[in-house]
Amino acid sequence: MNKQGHQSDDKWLNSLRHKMDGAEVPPPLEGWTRLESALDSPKRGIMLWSWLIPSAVAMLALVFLWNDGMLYTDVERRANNEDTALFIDTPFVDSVMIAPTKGLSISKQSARINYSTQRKVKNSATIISMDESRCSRIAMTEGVELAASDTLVKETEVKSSEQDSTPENNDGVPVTNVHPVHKYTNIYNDYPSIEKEHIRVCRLSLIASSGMISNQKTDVGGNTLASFNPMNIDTNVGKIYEEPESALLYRAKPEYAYDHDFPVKVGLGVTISFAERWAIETGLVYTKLRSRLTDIRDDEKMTQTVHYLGLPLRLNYSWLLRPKYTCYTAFGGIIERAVDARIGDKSLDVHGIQCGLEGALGVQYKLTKQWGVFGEIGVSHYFDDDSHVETYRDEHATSLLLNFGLRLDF
Amino acid sequence: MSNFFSRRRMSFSTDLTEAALAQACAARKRRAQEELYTRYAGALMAICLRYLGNKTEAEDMLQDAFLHIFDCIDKFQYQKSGSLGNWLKQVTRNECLQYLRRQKKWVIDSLEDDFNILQDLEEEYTDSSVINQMSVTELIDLISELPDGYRTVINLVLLDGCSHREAASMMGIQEKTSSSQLLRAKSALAKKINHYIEEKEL
Repeated sequence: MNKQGHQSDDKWLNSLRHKMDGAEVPPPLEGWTRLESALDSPKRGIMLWSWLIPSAVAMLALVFLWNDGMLYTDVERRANNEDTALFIDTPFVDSVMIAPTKGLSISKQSARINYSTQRKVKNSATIISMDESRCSRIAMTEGVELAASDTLVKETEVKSSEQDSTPENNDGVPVTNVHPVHKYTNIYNDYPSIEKEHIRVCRLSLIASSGMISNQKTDVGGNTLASFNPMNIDTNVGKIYEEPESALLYRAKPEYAYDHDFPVKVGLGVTISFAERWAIETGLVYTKLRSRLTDIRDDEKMTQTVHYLGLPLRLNYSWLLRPKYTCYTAFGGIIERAVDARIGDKSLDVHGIQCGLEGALGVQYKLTKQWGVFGEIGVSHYFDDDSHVETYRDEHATSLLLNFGLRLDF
Repeated sequence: MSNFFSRRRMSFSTDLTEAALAQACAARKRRAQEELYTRYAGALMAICLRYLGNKTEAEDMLQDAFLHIFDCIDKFQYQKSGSLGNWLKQVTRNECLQYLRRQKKWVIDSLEDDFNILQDLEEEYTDSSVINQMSVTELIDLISELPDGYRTVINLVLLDGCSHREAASMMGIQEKTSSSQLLRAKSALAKKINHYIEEKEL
C-alpha cells in the first residue's frame, strides 16, 4: 500500500478528486437563523464608516465655517471680514478711502482729492467710519454722481477732547495728543475750495481699490494738496487696516443687468443604508453659477462665474430596487461655500454660507457593487446669504434642480 | 391557511431555476435567500471545512461567505445548469483564501523547499479503493489535519483544478514552491490515509 507506481498515484488522486467533487457537509443547525439575523443587522463595514464619514463631514464643515469667519469673535470678524468685504467685494466699485492717521490732533482735517477715472460712478455712495471702539457705518450719501475728473472733497472735523503739548509726529508736524473723536461729514461733489488755514493735515492715507480701474490713474492732486505734508497714497487695498480705528471709506456701485445661466451640480455622494430602502446621504457637491453681466451705462459685457463647494445631508428612500439600478426619492439640506468667484479675470470675495433645501427624484445605475452614477431632478430652495455678488439664486431662490455625479454606497 | 403558506413556500423552493433564484436573491427577497442557503450550504460548508481545517472557523466562514454572496449576487450571470453552484463555490473559495491570507496561515520557506524537496522526498501513495471506501467527512478530516500550506495547495491544485501558476498567485508564493508543496502535501496526505486505514483495521 505504500510505494507504488505513477499510475497508482494518479488513480488515488483521481478517486480523491471525484469523491470531493460535490461533497457536502451538514451546515450548522442554526446556520440560517444566524445568517438571517446578520442580514437584518446593519452591515458589518458600516461601523467604521459611520464614524469616519460624519467626522470627515464635520471637519469639512469646520473648515467652511472657519474660512467664513463664523468662528471669529465679533470684533475679529468686523476687522477681518466685514469691512474688507465691503471694500473689495464688488470689484467695479471705484473707491477712495481717506484715513486720518491715528493720534492726529488737528482740529480740522480737510483734503481735496482729484479722483481721475474714465468711468462714471453713480448711485449710492457710502461712507464708512470706524472709530476706536467699534466699526459702524455712520453716514450714507445717496445720489452722488461723479463724472470723469470730478473732484471729491472730504472734510473731516476732529474735535479735541483734550489738548496737550506734545512732540512732533513723524512728519515733523506738531501733534496735540488727543483721543480723536472724528466727525465725518458727507462727501460732496465739487466741494468749494478749501481755505488754507483749515488745511493742517499732516498725513492722510488714500487707498484706492483695484478692480476694473486698476490700470487707470488715481492721483491726489492739485496744487492744494501739493502743499500738504506727506500723503500716504496706496493702491493696495490690504493696507486699509493698518489704522482701522480712523478710516473713512467712500464707495459707489455701478449698475449691471444680469443674465444668469441655469446651475448644474456635479457631486460625489456617499450613502449609508440603515434599512433596506432607507439611506443617509452626504458628500461633496460642486456648483458653478455663471452669469453674463452688461453694464447698463456703456453696454460693456462681462462674465461672472462663482464656484461653490457644498456639503449635502439628505435622506434617501429607494422605491424601486433592481440589480443594476435604483430609483429613489431624496430630501434634505445643503450648505455651500464659494471657493472661487470671478468677473472676467478679476477675482471676487464672496463670503457667507449659502444654505438650501432640496427634494429630488433620482436614478442610480450601479457600476460596481458600491459605486454608481446618478442623475436627479428636483426642486431646490436657497436662502439669502447676504453676499454682495448677485447670482442665479438671488433671482430664483426656488428653482429646478439637476444633479449628476458618482455615489459610493455602504 | 398554514397549508396554503407552506404550499406556496414549497412551490417557491422547488420551482425556481438557478437564474430566477439568483435574480430573486439579488432583489433581496428573503425567501429566495433562504432557499439558496438550503440548496448550497452543505457544499459550501465542505469547501470551508477543507480549506480552513477547523469546524468553528468553517462555520463562521460559511456565514461570511453567504453575506458576501447576497451582496454581490447581482454580478452572477447564468450560463448553463450548474453555473450558479460553481459561482457560489468560487466566491466561497475566494473568501476562504482571503481569510487565510489575512491570517498569514501559509508561511512557506521557499529555500528549504528548493534544496530538499526533489532530493529527499520519499513519495507515498495509497490505493484508490481505500479512498472509495472512506466517507467524505473522513477524508475532509484527514485533509484538515494537514499543515495550512499543504492543505491549501492540495485544495487549489488537486481538488479545485487550479494550475500551479494560479495557485502560486493566489497564495502569493512562487510557482516552483507551489509544485514542491503539492508533492509534499500529496505524500503527507497519502501517509495519513494509510495510517488511518491501518488504525481502523486494527
